Amino acid sequence: MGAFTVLSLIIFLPLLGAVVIALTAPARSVVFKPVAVATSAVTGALILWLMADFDKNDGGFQYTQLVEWVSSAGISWHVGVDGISLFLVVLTGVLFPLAILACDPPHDAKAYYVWMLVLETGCLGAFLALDLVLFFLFFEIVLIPMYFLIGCWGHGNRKQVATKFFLFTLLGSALMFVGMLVLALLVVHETGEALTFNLLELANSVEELPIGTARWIFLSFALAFAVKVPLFPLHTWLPDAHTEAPTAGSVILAGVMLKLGTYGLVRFGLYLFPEASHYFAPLFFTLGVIGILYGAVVAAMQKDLKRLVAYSSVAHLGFIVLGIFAFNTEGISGGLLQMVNHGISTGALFLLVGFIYERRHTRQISELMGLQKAVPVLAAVFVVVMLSSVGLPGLNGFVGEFLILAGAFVAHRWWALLAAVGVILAALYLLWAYQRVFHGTPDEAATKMADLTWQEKLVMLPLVGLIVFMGVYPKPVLERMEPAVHLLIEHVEQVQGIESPTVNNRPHGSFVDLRELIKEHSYDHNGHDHDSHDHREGSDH
Amino acid sequence: MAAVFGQIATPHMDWLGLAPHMVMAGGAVLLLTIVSLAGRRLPAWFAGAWTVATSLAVIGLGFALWMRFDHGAWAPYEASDDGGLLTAAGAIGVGRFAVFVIVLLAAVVVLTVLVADDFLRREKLDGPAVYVLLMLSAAGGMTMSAANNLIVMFLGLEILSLAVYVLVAMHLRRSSSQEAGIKYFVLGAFASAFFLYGIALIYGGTGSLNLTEISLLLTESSTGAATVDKGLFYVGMAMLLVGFGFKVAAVPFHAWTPDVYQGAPSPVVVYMAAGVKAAGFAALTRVFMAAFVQHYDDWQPAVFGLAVASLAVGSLMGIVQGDIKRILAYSSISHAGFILVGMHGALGRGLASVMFYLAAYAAMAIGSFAVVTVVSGPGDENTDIASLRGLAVRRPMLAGAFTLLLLSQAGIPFTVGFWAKFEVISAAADNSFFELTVIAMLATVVAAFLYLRIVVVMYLDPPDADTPRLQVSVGPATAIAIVVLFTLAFGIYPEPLLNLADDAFSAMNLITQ
Repeated sequence: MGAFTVLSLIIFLPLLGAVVIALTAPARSVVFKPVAVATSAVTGALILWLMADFDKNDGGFQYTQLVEWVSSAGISWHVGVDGISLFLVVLTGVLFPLAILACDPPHDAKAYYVWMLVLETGCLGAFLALDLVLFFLFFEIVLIPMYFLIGCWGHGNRKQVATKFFLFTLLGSALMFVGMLVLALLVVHETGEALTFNLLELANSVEELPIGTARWIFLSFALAFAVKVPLFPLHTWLPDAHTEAPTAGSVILAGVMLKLGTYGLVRFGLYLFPEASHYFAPLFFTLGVIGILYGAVVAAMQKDLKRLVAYSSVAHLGFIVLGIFAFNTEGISGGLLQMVNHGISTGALFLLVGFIYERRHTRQISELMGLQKAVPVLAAVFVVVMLSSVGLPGLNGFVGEFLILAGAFVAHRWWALLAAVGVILAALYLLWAYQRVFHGTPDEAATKMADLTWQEKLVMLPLVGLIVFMGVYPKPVLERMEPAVHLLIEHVEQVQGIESPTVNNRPHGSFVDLRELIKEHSYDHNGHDHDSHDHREGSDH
Repeated sequence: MAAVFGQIATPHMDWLGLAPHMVMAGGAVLLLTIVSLAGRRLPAWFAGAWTVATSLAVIGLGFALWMRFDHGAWAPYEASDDGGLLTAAGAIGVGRFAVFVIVLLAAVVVLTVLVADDFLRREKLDGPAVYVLLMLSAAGGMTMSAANNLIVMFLGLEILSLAVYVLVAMHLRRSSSQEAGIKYFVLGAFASAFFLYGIALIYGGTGSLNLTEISLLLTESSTGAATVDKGLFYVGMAMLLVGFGFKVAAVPFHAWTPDVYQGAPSPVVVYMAAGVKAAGFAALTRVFMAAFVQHYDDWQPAVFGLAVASLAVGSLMGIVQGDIKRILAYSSISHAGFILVGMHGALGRGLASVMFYLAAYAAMAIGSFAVVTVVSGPGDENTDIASLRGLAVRRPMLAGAFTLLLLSQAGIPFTVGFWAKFEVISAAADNSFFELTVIAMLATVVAAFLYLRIVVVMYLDPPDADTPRLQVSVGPATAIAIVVLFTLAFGIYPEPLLNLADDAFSAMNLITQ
C-alpha cells in the first residue's frame, strides 16, 4: 500500500463493503451489520493512521494522487488531504461506524447498510477531491443514498421530505454545475491553455477572469453550498429532513453532510474566489448571524426534541459561516474546528434523541418527563453532549465558538456581538429542553425505560471522550489546521492585493494586542505561526 | 443492353458506403419474401432473429466504414461534408457522422426487437410485418443521416415515418393504438408537407437541392458571385425547421407526443423515442450545418426558442401527468430541448454533444420504455403510475434498473446522462450563452421531480395486495441489462464515447472551417 493510493483506498473501501453486502444473499441477513460495521471501522482506522502520519508542518496537500480520467474534458482523479479537510475526513471516519453500530434498521437491512456505505464513500470523496468535477460528482451523488435513507427508513411525512431534500440540494448544485463549467471554459479562453478542472491550477488562473464574472461564478458556487449548509433563508429543508430521517441518517446528515457546504465555502469559495468571497463577505456574515439568532429562537419554540436539535444546527452552522468569512486565522480555524465539534456533539445529540425515541416512541418534549431518575447514564451523557453544544468552557464547543467570536470580533465587531447573544440563547433553549425532559418526577412510562445498553455506551464513549479531549487539549487538532489555514489566508491576500488593494477592513493597531491575547489563551503556537503572523501584520500597515 | 448503359451515364457508386442502407432495407424485403414463401413452417423466433442478425451485420459494416477513414479515402470521390465520401452523384455522403447514426439506429433496432419479441407473442400480434416495418423505418433513418440531397432526405424521412405510422396503429384490439396511429399520421403528414414545401422554396431560392452546393451558393451569394433569393430561402429554412421540429418532438410541434406515446404499443415507443428522435436530430444537424451554416446567426435564435420552450414545457407538463408513458413522453420533449441546446452551440463543441446526447438518450429511453413494456401487462393497458406501486418489493432488480435509468435521465453523477448534460451545457457555456445554461439546469431540477415521483411510487408506496406477479422474460431483461451496463460503464468512464462523438463531430465540421 503506497502512500499515493491510501486516499483512494479510503474512498473505495466503504463502497467495496457495499458491493459485498449487495451481493450477499438476502437470507444471510445476520452478516450485513457486521460487514458494514467492520468496513466502516477499518476505513476509520485507516483514516486515524492517516491523521497520525499527517505532516503537521506542511500546509499543502498531502498524499495526493492524480490520474487522468476523462482527459478530453480535462477531468482527473485528483485527491489529496490538507489541514482543512483532514479533520472532516476524520469526523466522517469516526461518525459512520458509530452511527451504523448504534442503530438497527427496522426492515430491509441489506439496502440500508448498502446505502450507508455508499454514503460514506460519497462524503469521503467530496472531502478529498481536488478536481472540481470530481468534487461535484461526489457532492451530488450523496443525495441518492440520503434520499433513500430518509424515504425508506424515515418517519412521518418521509416521502415529501425526502423529495424536498433532494430537490432543494439539486437546485443549488444545478447552478454550481453551470458555474463550474463556465469557470473552466472562461479560464481556457483567457489563458489559452487546455481545459482543466484541476482545483490547484484553476485557483492560480482565476485572477485572470474579470472581477464581475468571477463574482457571478462565485455566487453560483455559494448558492449550492448555502443550501447545503444551510444558510438562512435556504434552511427550510433541514428541520424536515433531520426530523423525519432515521437516527443514523440524522447523525450523518448533521454531522457530515452539512459540512460539505461549509467545507465547500472554504475550499471552493475562499480559495478559488478570494476577491469575490471578500466582496460578498458582508452578505454571508449577515446571513450567518441571522441564522444564529433565528435558529436559536425557533429552536426554543420547538415541541419536538429532534426538531429542536435540528434548528440548533442552523444556529451552529451560522457560527461556522461567521468564522469562515472573518478572513483571519482565528475565524477560519475556529470555523473548521467548529465543523468537527458540531459533527461530534450534534451527532451525539441525535443519537441520544434516537435512543429516547426507540424506548418511548415519542419525541414530544411535553410527553417526556423525569428521565434523569429513570435513566441516569443516558441523562449524564446527555448533559455532557448538551453542554458541549452550548459551548461550556472545558468542552470542545467552547474552543471553536471562542475562536470564531474572536476572529469575527476583530473583523466585524457588531456582528460578533450579535452572534455572542446566540451563545446565550443556545444555553437557554438547550437547558430549558433538558429541564423539561429530564427533571421532575418520572411518570409511569419513564420508570419503565431501560438505560443505555452496552452497545449504546460503546457508541457514546468515543464521542464523549472526544468532546472532553478537544475541549481540554485542542492543540493536536489546531496545529494540524494552522499551516493550511495560513496558506489559505496568504493565497487570499495575495490575490486580493492584486485585485482590490483598497478593500481592507482588517484590524488596525489597537486590536493587535487583543489578537495576541486570544492566541495565547486559546492555544500554543510554534515559531512557524509567529513568522507568518508577523508577515501578515506587516502587510496590514 | 450494353449500348443503353453506354448512352446513359450512371454515376459511380460507392457500394460499401451504401451497404448499411441496402442491407437494412434488403433485409426487410428478404424477410417479407421468405416468410410469405415458407409461411408457417418457420419457427416463431425466426423473424426476430433475422432482424437482429441484419442489424448486427449493419453494425459490422458501420465499423468497417468507420475504420476506412483512418486509412485515408479508398475511392477517388470528392470528400463529402462529414469527412466521408460523396457518392451517387453527390446525393449520399457516408462519413463518420452518418456512420455514428447508422450504428446507433441499428443498435436501437436490436434492442427494440429484444423488447418487442416477447410483447408481440403476449399480445398475439406476432408476425413478420412488425419486423419488416421496423427494419424499413431504420433504413429510412439511415438514409436521412447520410443524405446529401434534400429530396433523398425527404425520401428517407417518408420511409422512416410511414413505417412508424403503421407500427403505432399495430395493436389491433386497442382503440387507443388506432387513435394514436391516425393522430400521428395526420400530424406527421402535415409536417411532411411543410418539409416538402420548404424543400421547394429552398430550391426556388438557391437553385439547388444538394446540401454541399447550397452551402457553396450561399457563400458565393455573399460575395455576389451567385444570386440567391433570400426571401424564399428564409421561408424554406423555417419550414424545414418545422418539419424537423415535429419529428424530434420539439415544442411547439410536440402536441402529438404524449398522446401517441401513450397509445402506441410500448415496444414501438422504445423505437420512436430512441430511433426516430436520433434520425430526426441527425438530419436536422446535417441540413442546418452542412447547407445552412452560413446562416448560423439566422437560425440560431430559432433553435434557442425551440430549446427553451421544449425544456420548459417538457419538464413542467411532465409533473402533472398520471401515466408513465405520458410522463416519459414529456421527459423526451425536455430531452429534445437539451439536444437543441447542443445544436444551438453547433459551431463550437455543440455537434459532438448532440451526438453524445443522442447515444446516451437512446440508452435511457430504450431502458425506460422497456420497463414500461414489462409493467404494462396483458393488453398493454397498465401504464398508470400506480401500476408501479411497490415495484421495489415485487421486482427489486427491475425497480433498481428503472431507478438508475431515471436518475441517468435526471443527470445524476456516475451515469451517462450526467456526461450528456455536461457536454451540452459545456457547449452552451463555451458560446457564452449563460442564460441558456441556467434555463437548462433549472429545467433539470424540475424534471428531477418528475423522475423522483416515479421512484417514490416504486420504493415508498406499498404494493397493492392483489397485484399479479410480474413476468419478466429474457428478451426485455437482456435489453434492460444492456442499457443499464451502457449507462453505468459510460457513466463511470465516458472517454471512449466522448471520443467517438468528437470524431463524428470533427468530421462533420470540416466544411465549416
